[in-house]
Amino acid sequence: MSFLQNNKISNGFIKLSGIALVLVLWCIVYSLKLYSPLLIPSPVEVAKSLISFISDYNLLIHLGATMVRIFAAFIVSAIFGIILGLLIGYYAIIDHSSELLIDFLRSIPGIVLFPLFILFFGTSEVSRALVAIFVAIPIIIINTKYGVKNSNESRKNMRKIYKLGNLDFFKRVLIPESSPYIFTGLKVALSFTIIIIIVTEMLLGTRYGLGRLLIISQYEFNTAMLFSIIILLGMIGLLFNLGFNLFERKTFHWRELE
Amino acid sequence: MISRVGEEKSRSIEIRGFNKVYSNKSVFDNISLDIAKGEFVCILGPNGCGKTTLMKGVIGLIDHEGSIKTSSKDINYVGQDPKELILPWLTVSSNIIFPKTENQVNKEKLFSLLNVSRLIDYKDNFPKSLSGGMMQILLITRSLMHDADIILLDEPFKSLDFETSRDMRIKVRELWQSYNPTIVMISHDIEEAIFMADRIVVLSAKPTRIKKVIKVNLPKERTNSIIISEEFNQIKREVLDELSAE
Repeated sequence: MSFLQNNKISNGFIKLSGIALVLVLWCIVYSLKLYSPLLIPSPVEVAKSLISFISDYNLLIHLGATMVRIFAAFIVSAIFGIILGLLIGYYAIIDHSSELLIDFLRSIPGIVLFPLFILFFGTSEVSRALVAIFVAIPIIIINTKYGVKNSNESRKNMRKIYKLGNLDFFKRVLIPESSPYIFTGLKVALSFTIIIIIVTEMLLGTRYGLGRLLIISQYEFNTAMLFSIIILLGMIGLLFNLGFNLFERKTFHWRELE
Repeated sequence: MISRVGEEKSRSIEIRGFNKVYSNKSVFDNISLDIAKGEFVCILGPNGCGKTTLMKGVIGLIDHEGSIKTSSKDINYVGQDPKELILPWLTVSSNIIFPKTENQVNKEKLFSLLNVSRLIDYKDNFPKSLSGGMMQILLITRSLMHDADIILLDEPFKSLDFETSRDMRIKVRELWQSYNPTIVMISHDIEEAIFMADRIVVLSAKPTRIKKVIKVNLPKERTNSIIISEEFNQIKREVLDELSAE
């Protein structure tokens, strides 16, 4: 244990060892031709394909289109999810009247609404975004609601003690107090937004997007590209997670007082 | 029993027939009490007699029977657990000026209060770096920062060490004399109550009633040596007699 704590370099190597092991196994499988190279491409080819995402303008457009969709859906979900979650968490009447509805809606697998949204809005960006929003919003609402409900009672009383207006109270007390919960909700919601956007891109209605590129790569048996997109998506998810964790450590250092 | 102090117009807090019912049981025997503007009143009583409930009634945090009128809406409350009313995401100085913002406060006053409360070296730190006692000081300083007309202190020195508690008594009294808010303080320490207050309200056990209101006829300027004076000990005996006579 002390070895792990004291030696940051060794710690870094140990963290990377899992990935290294998978890479080694991949190289062995490829070298021994255990599977057709059409199914398991060489790691070098996949690496080249990955690098092409930076250099190839056409690939960058696919990446950009997916990222824009993810951010747009996520931002809309975050705004509405946080506002609704705060209101539901603070006002018992709204909570009671909406609890069953939210539980029902979040039990519906979001992706099944895609055909319905296509009927309403066509194969447009709106349909795709709405599915992602439909999945992400309940996650943010529920986490925000529990953040408010688990807030310290005395801090909730500060509205009366300091005669704070509703907006001031929410902005200066309730939102910071609930923010660790809100943040957890945002983190989970972003993961689901990525999944839904990619899936809807894979289904239909777009020329650009990593999901679309995945399907094209599959049709063309371009497994190197297929692998590189999968790895790229993993890296995007990992980067978001690292970013979130860093932000969490910097922003919520005060939680030690709780 | 209604304890009337001063004229109608100078009343700061007027409590009439106060009672709180928990599980069909009355906690109070219809308490009535008047507290004058600028007065320093200490409430003494056995554990569980409802002192904190009475304070919560004054601040409007609980539903209750009877009426409580206050001359001002500007009431500040310092509870037993300082962590609860401190906002850990704000710095020490932002906590002191809360709910106001930096642009809305008198910076000279803030600086002077930071000095008096010995929080000056921590002003830009987050509260997690403060001890429990210092957090309590922060909350008292917040009350004084805003010239609250009424300050309710619920055992404010409970978590302080002996020396800090002794210093804080003097500081709070000094600040009270300077800004003259009405202060109602709950205490379990008889000497502390006599040292701090103009009047001591002695409560009985449940159902709680006011057993006696004792006037503290001590000079306004009080130093630690006052606790060995004859007048002080006479009041202490009177309070002790009341508390032990059930």
